[in-house]
Amino acid sequence: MTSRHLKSVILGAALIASLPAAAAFRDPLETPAQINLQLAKSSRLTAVTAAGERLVAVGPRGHILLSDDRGASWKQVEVPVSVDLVAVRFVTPRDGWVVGHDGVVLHSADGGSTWAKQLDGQQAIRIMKDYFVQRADMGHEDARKLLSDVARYEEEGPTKPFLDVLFLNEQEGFIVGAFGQAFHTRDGGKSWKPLLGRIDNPRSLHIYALAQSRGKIYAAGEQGMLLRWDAERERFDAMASPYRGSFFGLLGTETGLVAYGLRGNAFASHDGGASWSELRTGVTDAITGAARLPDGGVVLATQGGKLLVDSGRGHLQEMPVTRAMAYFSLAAAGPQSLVVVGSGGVQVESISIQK
Amino acid sequence: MAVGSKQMGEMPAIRDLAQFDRNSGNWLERAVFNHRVLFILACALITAVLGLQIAKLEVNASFDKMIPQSHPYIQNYFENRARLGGLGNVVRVVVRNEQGDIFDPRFLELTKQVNDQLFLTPGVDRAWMKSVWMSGVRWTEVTEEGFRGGPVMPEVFDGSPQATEEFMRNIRSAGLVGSLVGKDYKSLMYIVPLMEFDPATGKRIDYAALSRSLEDNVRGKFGEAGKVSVHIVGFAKLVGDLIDGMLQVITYFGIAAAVAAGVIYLYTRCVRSTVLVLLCSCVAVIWLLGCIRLMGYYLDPYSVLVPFLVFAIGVSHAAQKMNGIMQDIGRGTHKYVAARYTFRRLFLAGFTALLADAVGFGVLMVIDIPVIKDLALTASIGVAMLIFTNLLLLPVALSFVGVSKAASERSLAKEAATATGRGQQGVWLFLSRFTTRPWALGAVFASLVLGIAGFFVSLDVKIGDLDAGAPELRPESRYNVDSAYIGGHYRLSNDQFVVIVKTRDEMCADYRVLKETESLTWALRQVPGVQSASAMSDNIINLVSGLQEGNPKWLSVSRNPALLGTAAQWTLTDNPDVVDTACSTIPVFAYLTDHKAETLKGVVALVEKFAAEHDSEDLRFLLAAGPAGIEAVTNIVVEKANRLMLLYVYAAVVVLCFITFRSWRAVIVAVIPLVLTSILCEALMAVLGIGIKVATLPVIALGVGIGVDYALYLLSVQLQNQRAGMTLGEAYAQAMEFTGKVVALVGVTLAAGVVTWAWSPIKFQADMGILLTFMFVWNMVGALILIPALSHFLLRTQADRVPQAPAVRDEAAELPASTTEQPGPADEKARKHATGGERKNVSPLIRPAANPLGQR
Repeated sequence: MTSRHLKSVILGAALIASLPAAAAFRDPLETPAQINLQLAKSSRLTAVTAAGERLVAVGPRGHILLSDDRGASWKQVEVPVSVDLVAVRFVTPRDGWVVGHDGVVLHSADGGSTWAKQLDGQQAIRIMKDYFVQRADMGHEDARKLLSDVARYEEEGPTKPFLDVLFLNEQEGFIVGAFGQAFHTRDGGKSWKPLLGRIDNPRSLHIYALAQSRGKIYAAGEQGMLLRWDAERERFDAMASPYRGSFFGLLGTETGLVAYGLRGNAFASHDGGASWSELRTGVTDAITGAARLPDGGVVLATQGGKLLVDSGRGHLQEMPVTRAMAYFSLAAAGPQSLVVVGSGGVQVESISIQK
Repeated sequence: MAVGSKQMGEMPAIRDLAQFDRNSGNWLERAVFNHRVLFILACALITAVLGLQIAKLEVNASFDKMIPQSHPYIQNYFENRARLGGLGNVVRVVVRNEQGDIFDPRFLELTKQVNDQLFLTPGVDRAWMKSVWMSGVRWTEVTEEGFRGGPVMPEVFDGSPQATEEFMRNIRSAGLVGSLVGKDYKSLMYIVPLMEFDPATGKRIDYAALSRSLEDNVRGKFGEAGKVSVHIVGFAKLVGDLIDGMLQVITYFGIAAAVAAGVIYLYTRCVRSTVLVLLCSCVAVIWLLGCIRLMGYYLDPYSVLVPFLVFAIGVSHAAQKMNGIMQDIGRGTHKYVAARYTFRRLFLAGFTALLADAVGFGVLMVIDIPVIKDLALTASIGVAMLIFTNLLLLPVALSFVGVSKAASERSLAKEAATATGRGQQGVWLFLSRFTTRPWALGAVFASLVLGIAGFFVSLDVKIGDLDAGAPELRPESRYNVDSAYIGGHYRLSNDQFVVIVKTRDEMCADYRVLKETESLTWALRQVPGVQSASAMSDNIINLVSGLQEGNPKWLSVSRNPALLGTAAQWTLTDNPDVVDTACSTIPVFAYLTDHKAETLKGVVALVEKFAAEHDSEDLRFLLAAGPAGIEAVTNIVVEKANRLMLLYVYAAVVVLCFITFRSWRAVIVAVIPLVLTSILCEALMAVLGIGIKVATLPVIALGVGIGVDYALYLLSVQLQNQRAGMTLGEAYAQAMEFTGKVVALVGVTLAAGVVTWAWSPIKFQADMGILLTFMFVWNMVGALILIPALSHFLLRTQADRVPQAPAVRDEAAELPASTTEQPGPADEKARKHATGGERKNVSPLIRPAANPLGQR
């Protein structure tokens, strides 16, 4: 835990006294999302992705929206929880996962039409505890050392969000989140293995993003953290970083990686992260989303409401937009358009690049 | 009613004062007239004392008094008002550059001066004042090292592109567009919180003075046509504008008095008596205002209307006194004796009529809205004053001054003409046709059509205020123009509905409290008419994300207590308007597209449902605060009170009519025209877009309560004539001749008293003026046309069936008519008929048993 977080805890503890649980309060983990398409679609949405031809967008309070016509019309689907959802990823047109606050993981096997909860913060803690207590009992010294961390997780309860999800296929995938927590599955999310102690993250920084490039798995997070998955040793190793500020996202392409984050910083690597080159974005607001275009190019979205297209000439070009809002995520929707989500909901923008 | 005279017929013309028995008449008459100099002096003294009080009478407007005090939702508001700081007691000033944008250095220099001016205005809570010129207004941005920030206004602003760029960037990163900077970058806003008390003097802030100071020292000083415009909104400004409006309305009193003077002069053709009537009515108003001051009340936008009403009622009643005196003097009676005769004849009648008016006011007391109660109280006091001034002072004063000879002779001549049947004038003759079958049928049918059509139109009448902006003022008023400008260029809606979230002290940062608060904002956003909803939970969401370098994935009411605690601390210091310092009261704001009753109802219903499902021991969701919230509750009370009001006022009128007429049929004849007027009044409201609201409740009561006077005047005389054996046609024609003019006079003077309000800058006063004028005039027309028509169907007697029956004069005295019970200040001539007085009675006797009028 960083000193910043520590300070929060102290300040917070001074202010908080816990309320006795009241029957009236319905926990978002146990309350299905409310359906109101008009509101959901024009309110904040955090992430959007493509599931084959379909687009899937997620947002706060368990909102999940689908579009089968490239963003022209949307429908809201039933979700068993109403927690704030932050990331969505489909590995096939049918199989997809959503992660969010309170440590929630949702899975769909039908292209996003129905969702089932696979994991929540409470279960994640239990899995961690069971795993490390068992390992410690078996005499693994490293596991015994981690028991105090596990105890702290237990004490804090299901307060940590998962911030990104990535699956390599229908079976193997990763979830990463706040304060460096991460899990690994090899059975499509039926069982999860905690990665505590298997990540080069001594300061328990948030891991914000996962990406896959040329068969390798990468992660990025706070304070310039860049990680690479070592499949044999089953751990995330630190990589040299070109930036000491925080990365908000990581995009894997056929040729390499794009890491982006605070204050308009974006870096590209074409050698698996061995070397990075800065992208000249020309903006000072945070870059919050990135997507690959059908033609192989990259487009970035910023919190200040700008869309930046990689012109292929070393600098990024600002694309005209119909409505500026704080953008949080985007996805290609067909060859000519993008679906962007942000503070004001969802909108479709047509791709225009000046050659 | 011990004070009454029974020997009305025995009043011989006495030319010489010496022949008059000063000890005749009842005790009150003797007490007053035998010491008339003393009485006049006493009245003069009271007038002087109370008149001096008027100088100290305050004119004020209190919003608390316009809302239903004891409704539980309003109680919630009162209980939490102190904790909902900044809700209302803030003035917002916007200075706009009409020739450029805010980056014009000269304009910026001017806005700096405005800032200094506002900062130094007494009553301003300087610590919380906000504008781009205040150093506390800062921009922040997330950097690799953490937060970075500074004041929004660059150290030196020279208008250079760099400085402009820097200023613009600061405004953006501070998120000021739409809050302190107009969305079009052409204006700046100053948020000026006000203190309740002046710390220097310890006195309550005088909103009217503050409003004037803003008007003179900000708008007057810095505004320049075509270059710089200043827009000011806020509670204090609204109160100031209301008070200004009231002061303007007070000047209308002169117009109302002039119109009344004209009407009276046309009626009496005597300058002396016209002046006297006006004077006595003015004395009543002076006494009324003095009493209001002595009782510790002040004039508010509602009670300011009472003097108008009292004056009008006074004038219309006084005019009738003149009539009697004139005729007596015309016959040669000494003015002193004539005054005493008039007193004898009309005191009881006048007293009862005024009581009838008081009933109309009295039922208003059942409504739980202070301004209406005050209105009822002051109006009752005013009517009580009229008993002294117009029933006692006026005759006494007349005993000194008398009336002009020409006028009294004219009056007598007209009476003589009437007595001989030559005086039937066109319009009265025309109206008496309504007693015949075809005309009666036509009138009743037309009324039925009007009534049904009116009813269907009236179904459209809405509850509450319908216009945009501050509903108290006219849509085109300066205030509402300002409000519309600010609404269009800033994120600020006048239609703010506030739900109060209450938890225990220090609990506002609790996850459950914040999550439930967030849930309420989402629930509110789903209600039709809710444009946006926000609460502390939104600040927390943004701060949680802000603490994580602004990453949007952290936009959440996190379950992490450390994050929530830190965010709550920031909120408590930076945004005191979204949570109280005890961390226990969180206002949830819903901004509405309008304040139509349907919209408000929807919000109330949602919140009630939400509270039922989510309330727990230590977390409660309470209605209501904010202008729209208060209005929603007021609507609930008004809608209920409207029905209750109608029920009570009609019950009172029916009882009053029955006591007077002793005939259910006559009650129906008297009440149906009123019902028609009430229906048409609602239809008129629907057409004019006037909603049922606090201001229209008194209109209904006054319209019906005073409106029934017409029926009392007309019908009582008509019934007595009929009981005396006249045919309906004759009875009505006689009644018209004797009281028709009075009815018309009362209608015109009452309407003249209130019609000037229609030009009031205060919207609800204008609405009241229009509706009352309509009701007074239409009630008069309805009475003159519908009473004969309905009488044709309900009140025909044997006289009408046996038209040629011979007159049996002597038995007329056995008729059931009882003059002492007659409340209407009917013309004394009518009484002469009723008592079988001095003139020949041509109609046959009808036995009481067979008489539909005599069912007891």
